[in-house]
Amino acid sequence: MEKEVKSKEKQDTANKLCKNIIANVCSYLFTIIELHKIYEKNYNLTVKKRGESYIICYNLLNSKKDKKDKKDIKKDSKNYYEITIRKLKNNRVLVNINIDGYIDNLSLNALSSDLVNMDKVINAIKKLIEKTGKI
Amino acid sequence: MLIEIKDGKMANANSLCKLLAKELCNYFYFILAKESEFGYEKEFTITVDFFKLGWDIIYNPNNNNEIDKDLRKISNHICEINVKPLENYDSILVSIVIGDFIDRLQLDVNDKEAKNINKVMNSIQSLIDRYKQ
Repeated sequence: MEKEVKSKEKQDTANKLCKNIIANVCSYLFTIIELHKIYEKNYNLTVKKRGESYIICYNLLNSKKDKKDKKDIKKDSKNYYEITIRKLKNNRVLVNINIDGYIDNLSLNALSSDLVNMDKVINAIKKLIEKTGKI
Repeated sequence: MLIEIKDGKMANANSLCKLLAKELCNYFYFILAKESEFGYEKEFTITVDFFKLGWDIIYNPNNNNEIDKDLRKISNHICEINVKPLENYDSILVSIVIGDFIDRLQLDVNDKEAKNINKVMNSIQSLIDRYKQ
C-alpha cells in the first residue's frame, strides 16, 4: 500500500514537470520565433499529447499562390523543431530535442528543482537554435 | 508624418496581438490542457497558427478510440480563438469560439495591456463555464 502511494507520488511529480516544461518551452519558442522572425510568412506551433508523450512541433507553412485563404497554405512535410517530452520510471523525464537536424537528449530528475530542469531544457534548445544560425 | 503615425499604430497593434497570442497560449497550456477542463481522454492538440492577418489558437481533442491507429480529429474544434488587428490599427478583434458559444471582443490598442488581457480571459472563462453546463 505504501509502495503504491509512493509510486503515485512519483508519477504526479513527473507529470507536473512534463506540463511545466511544455508551458515554458512553448512560451520560449513563441518568444524566440517572434523576436527573431525565424519564419518567412506563416508558421505553426503545435503541442500534441499522444499517449504518455507530449510533442511540441514548429513548422513553416508554405503559401503557393500567396493568397489569404488558409486552404492554399500547406504545411511543410518536416517539422523544423520537434521536442518530445515523456516521463520515465523512477522520477525521470526524457526530453528529446531536434532543432532543424541538430539533436540533443536530456534525462531530467523530477525531484530536482523545476528551475534547474527548466534551465537545462531552455539552454539546450537555445544552443541548438544558435547552431542553426537563425539567432 | 502620416506614414510615421500609421507605422507607430501598426507596431502598437501588432505588439498587443503578439502579447495576447502568447498569453492565450500560456492559458491553454496551463489551464485547458488539464484533464478536467474539457474532458479529453488521452489525446489532444493545441495549435498556434500565424498567418498574415493574425494568430489562430486552437484546442482540439482527438478521437482516440484506437490509439496510434486512428487519430481522427473531431470535425469542429472545441476551442478556437482568433486575434487580429483591424484595418485602422486602433483596435484588435478577438473572436472566441468554445463549443457552440461565441464571443467577439474589440479591444482598444490604447487601453492598458492588463485591462485588455483581463477582458479576453474573462470572456474565455465565462464561455468555458457555459460550455461545461
